[in-house]
Amino acid sequence: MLNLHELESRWVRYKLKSLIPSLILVLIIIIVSYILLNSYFIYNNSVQEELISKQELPQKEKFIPKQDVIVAKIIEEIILEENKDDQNVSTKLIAQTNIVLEPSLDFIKHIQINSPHYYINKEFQDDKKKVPTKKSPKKVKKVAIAEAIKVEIVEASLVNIKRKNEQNDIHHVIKRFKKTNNPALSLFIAKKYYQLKNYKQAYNYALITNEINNEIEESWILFAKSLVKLSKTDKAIKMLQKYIDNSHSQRAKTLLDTIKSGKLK
Amino acid sequence: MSSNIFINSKNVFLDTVDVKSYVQLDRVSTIYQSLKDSVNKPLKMILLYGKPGTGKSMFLTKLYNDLSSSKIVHLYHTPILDDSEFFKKIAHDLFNVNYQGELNFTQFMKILEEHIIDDIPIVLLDEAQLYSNTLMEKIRLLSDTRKVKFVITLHKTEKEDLIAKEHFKTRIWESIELENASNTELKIYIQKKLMKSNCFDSANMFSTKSVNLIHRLSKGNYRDTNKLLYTLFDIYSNYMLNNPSKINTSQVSNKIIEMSAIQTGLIHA
Repeated sequence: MLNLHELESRWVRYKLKSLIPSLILVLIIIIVSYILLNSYFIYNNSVQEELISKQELPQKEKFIPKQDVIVAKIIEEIILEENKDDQNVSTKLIAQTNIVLEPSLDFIKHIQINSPHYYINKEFQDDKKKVPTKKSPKKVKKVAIAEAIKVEIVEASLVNIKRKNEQNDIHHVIKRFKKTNNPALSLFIAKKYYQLKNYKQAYNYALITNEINNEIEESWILFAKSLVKLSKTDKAIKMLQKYIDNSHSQRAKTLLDTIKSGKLK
Repeated sequence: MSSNIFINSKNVFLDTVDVKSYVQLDRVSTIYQSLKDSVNKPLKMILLYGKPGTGKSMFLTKLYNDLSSSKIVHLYHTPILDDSEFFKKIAHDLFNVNYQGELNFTQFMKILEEHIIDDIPIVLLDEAQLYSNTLMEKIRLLSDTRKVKFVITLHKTEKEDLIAKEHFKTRIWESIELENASNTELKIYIQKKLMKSNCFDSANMFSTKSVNLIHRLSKGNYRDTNKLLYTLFDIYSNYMLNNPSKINTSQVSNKIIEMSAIQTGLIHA
């Protein structure tokens, strides 16, 4: 006599057993496909990140601490050289000159601020000019005439030193650039020239930067801006358009819109 | 559908060698015809071989049934392992000689020479692999006299391929191999077998898919198929009696096929 109940339970066990290999196979397929998809997405992300990092390279270069340190050292060297040159100036004046040179370092630190440098100097000069005006005429009278003359010399030398410093900054950086051929330096020079309104040189160095590394977005921006400033707006638009087509840069698009709207002249 | 139908269907697949339940399949018919033709040829020995359950015994029984009316034929389903007993039995059946005491090969040869028969008698030996090598040699010598014709069936085993043995290789004039059924043959076999016993409803329950599953489990072996289907209808009749709502009588369920295979040991669960 058949025991159907037992036979059914044996059949259930058999079905479960026979399903195990299929389940394992399905599980393996799921795991393998998950790993493959995951690795595919990771690869895609890394490629995208690489592209983004390449686009962001110029900005990063600006903020590389090493670069800052080098530039700061260069500036310090310039200061020292300046001090040596102004040996005929009194020690007091030298001390004051050292203090006065600080804004130049600030300028390096705040290189991202596009505001023209000479505004800061002007303000500084204004402040300096205000200092003696704040003093009561009586006190001024009390101060020796020689001292008053010294202050005037300080003010005058301040402007001169500043100008020399900026020019020397560039020349020194140019020297370094010629040695290293570092696109970060040529970009720095281009920026500096642009700020100094020497658009032809800014154009040249942006072009040089571009030739060394054509993936630096900032060089394209500066290049276009310089062209606009050199009254070659059409060429700048054409060039920017080509660059946007290749890189899809948002900054370049914004700049193109600005140029087209005539806001940048 | 009553449980009686399933009980009848179950009995169709009882593992018995009954000529009435012989199913005529195209390939099997061709083989059988060639066997019949071989018997009529002046052959010394005919070998019928194949794996267990391929229908060798059925073939031999059918041949016996078909030839017994016209020829002197003797069928031995069970091997006679003792030499003396074997010769005594054959002497009695073929020549009606009741020999007292031990009958050896030489004495039997003498009896054989004394009895000259025009129509050569045919001896059908089933399960010949059970005979000893010495006895097989003696059978071979007997067949060489051309006074007795032997048709023997052998199991073709993987371990011992008897056809390769020298005494068979040189003396067999005809060897016929029986094989397992194909899917299509198995379907015809099942349905014909059921329809022969008027189990038409049961025969209609077998779709190609279910027959394929049966074939996969039994590998087309007739004996295993019989066992499986016997158990299958046993399960159906049990369900019909105790829990009829659990079964679908219009089609054979794969679950019940597998349950039958578990019960018969074709599936190790």
